[in-house]
Amino acid sequence: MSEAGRTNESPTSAAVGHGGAPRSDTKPPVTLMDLALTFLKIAMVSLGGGMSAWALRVLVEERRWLTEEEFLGALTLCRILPGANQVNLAVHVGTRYRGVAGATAALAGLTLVPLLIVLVLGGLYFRHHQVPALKDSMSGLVAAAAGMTLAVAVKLAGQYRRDPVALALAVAAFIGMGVLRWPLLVVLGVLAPIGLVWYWPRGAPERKGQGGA
Amino acid sequence: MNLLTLFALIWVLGSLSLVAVGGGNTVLPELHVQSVWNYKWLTDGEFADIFAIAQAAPGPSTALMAALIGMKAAGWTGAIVAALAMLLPAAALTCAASFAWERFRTAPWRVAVEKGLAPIAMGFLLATTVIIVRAADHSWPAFIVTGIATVLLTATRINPLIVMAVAGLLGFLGLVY
Repeated sequence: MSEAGRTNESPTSAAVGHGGAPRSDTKPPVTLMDLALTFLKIAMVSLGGGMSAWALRVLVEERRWLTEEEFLGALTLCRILPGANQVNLAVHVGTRYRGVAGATAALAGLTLVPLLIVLVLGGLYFRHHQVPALKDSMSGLVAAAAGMTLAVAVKLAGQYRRDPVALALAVAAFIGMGVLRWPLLVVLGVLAPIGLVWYWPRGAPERKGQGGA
Repeated sequence: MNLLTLFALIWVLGSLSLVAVGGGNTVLPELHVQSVWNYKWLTDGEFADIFAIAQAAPGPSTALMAALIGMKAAGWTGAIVAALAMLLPAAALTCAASFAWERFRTAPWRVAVEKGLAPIAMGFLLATTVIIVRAADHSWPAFIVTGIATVLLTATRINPLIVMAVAGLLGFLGLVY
């Protein structure tokens, strides 16, 4: 915690001057406080929904902790594992940077303030048996959060314009889950093997320099 | 306070935590059966109401619901125990899986998983969006807000918080319903 001042990446200006941030070996120093505050932010701004979209914006675009591809991979991992996706994502990113301590910090950041809020509301509710007048004023937020998620999906789709196989996989996943409403594991069971075989690294040792595209 | 209640909370929520594959909301029906019918921690109406509270609050809603159920069953201690029981088993599993994931960073299967699953994850994200829009937007003002938010956030570099704040204000004024 004593080195909290070392990350001088301001959330808004992170987009400039970072060209090809060296991935893999030299990760930027991420403190436990960074992890806790970042996931607190994600929890608070995704009020009304759209947590995946907000997580992508904060983790990929603002903090640059993950590339888009890494984020999507992590999100899938978090969906397969049991538990709430946002909790799993916090634990995953925390573990990646600071091991068990990082996972704890990220989890605490994500949950402590929301728990406090909800318990105060709950205390009031169980005493007076009346739902606080939150629900009605939420409708605007919920509608905008849906737009936030849609916008992220549109942006991501642009990235796959030149990759017909990826587009086909995305469309199939969308139809399976969004239209046919099949269970996640069934859709993954059908599509994941196709994706794995197609993208299995062949021949060349590693396809480098793809990250920033 | 009743120690047995605490153990029951740990048992029910801890086991639900580990079967919640595909997101927390998948365990809602089972959570309802256990907490309302089996253990009678709360009534049907209370279950519906705390669901609304948990949805309206920021943060992971299943953990928040667990905390509220624990609060009703066994006060503040119950709330904390219930939240931890819902969070920790799944978190421990994810933590272990993430260590493995990092360890095999350069393994071919890991590269294939990341590249191959990314487009599928994108399809899922789009599906989630459609489900959210369908659940959220019951009126043409809501559709318009979603549409304008989408265009603004796709085409401009506007800070999403501004969009959210304006939309929240519109909702607060009763213009979105």
